[in-house]
Amino acid sequence: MNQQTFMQQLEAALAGLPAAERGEILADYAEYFGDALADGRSEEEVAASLGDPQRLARELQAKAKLQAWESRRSVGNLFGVIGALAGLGVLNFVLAIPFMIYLWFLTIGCVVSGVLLFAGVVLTGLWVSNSLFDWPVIQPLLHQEQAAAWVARVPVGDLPQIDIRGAKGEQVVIHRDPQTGTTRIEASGVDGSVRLERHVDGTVSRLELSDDEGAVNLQGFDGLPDRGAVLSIGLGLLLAGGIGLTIGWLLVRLTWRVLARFGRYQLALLSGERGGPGRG
Amino acid sequence: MKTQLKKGTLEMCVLALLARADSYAYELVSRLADCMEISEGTVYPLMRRLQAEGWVTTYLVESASGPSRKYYALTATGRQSLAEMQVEWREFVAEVNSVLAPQAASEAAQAKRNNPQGEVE
Repeated sequence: MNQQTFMQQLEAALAGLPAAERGEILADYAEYFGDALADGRSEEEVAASLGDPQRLARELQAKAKLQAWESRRSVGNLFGVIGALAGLGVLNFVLAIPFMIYLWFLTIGCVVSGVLLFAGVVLTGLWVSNSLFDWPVIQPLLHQEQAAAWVARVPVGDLPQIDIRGAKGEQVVIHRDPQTGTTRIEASGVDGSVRLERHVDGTVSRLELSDDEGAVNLQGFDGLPDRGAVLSIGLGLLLAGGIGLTIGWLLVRLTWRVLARFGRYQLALLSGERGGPGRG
Repeated sequence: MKTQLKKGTLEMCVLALLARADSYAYELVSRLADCMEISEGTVYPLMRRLQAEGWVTTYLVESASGPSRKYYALTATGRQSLAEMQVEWREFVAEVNSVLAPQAASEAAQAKRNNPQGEVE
């Protein structure tokens, strides 16, 4: 490899870096070539001793990505770091896949906790609002006789079935089983479904919520929660959501810190700046 | 073992060269290569790191032939770090020597133990 090829490869591989930094690096190596040639060495010899320009550039890129991420911890910068480390062959698949799965679960956990927290806030807010202003009216949950505040009263009458279908597979079905007298209301779309079954005696016998991440299935409740229960459920959800989010946040911070340290360590290893007694 | 050791101490050697006089990359490499085996590719990453630590600064000097040269100069903090490294290095070398030459070390330790007695007598 001669000087021109070396410099061209280096320049091409440095493409992602800011122009000023790229210019400085290229100037450094041009200067080195100039000095070495003046010293009577051949271009090929100097290029070989400087190492593979592609690898050199990847290390410089990884360093820049790590710095960007350390100054601003965004998800985009995080994936920049992961990508750069993967490009260096530091993160192999054996390591990267469990890590990705872990990140994925962490994300889901945080989202679910957020939803729980939100539901808790809404329920507690309802209770507070009810205590202060008598609005909205909280009545036994999901009990047909008094369910005005919670469940829309659907006058099914004697209709055997209503079936509404949308163009993208959305469907609303109201179906009454003539033998048992059970009424089933089912709404489903691409992302999930809600299913509510009302027993012939007017109680809700089954409530099922599902989406592509999971399902909630409640059965056999009988004159359950009242005003106090709304508060306790609300506070319970607040607590669960709060704890979940706190743990999630701590894990995220820990992960980021560990990843940053791992990245720095790997880069240091690659550049041969670690090891030996010089530094602790 | 040898390469690991060298990598860790290369930084100190570069700082030590710069403590004597400002220099540029090729000159640094040539000086180092006179006394030890080094790979030239490690020099620029190393210099960038020393810069990031604030131990060295750079300035450009126009040259009559070819591109201008980047000179590296030791900063005050760099000088201080070098002094600390040298102390650490000497301590480390002494420790290793005392392990490698246990006889000499134990004799030295004995001499130390005997010395106070000598004073009493």
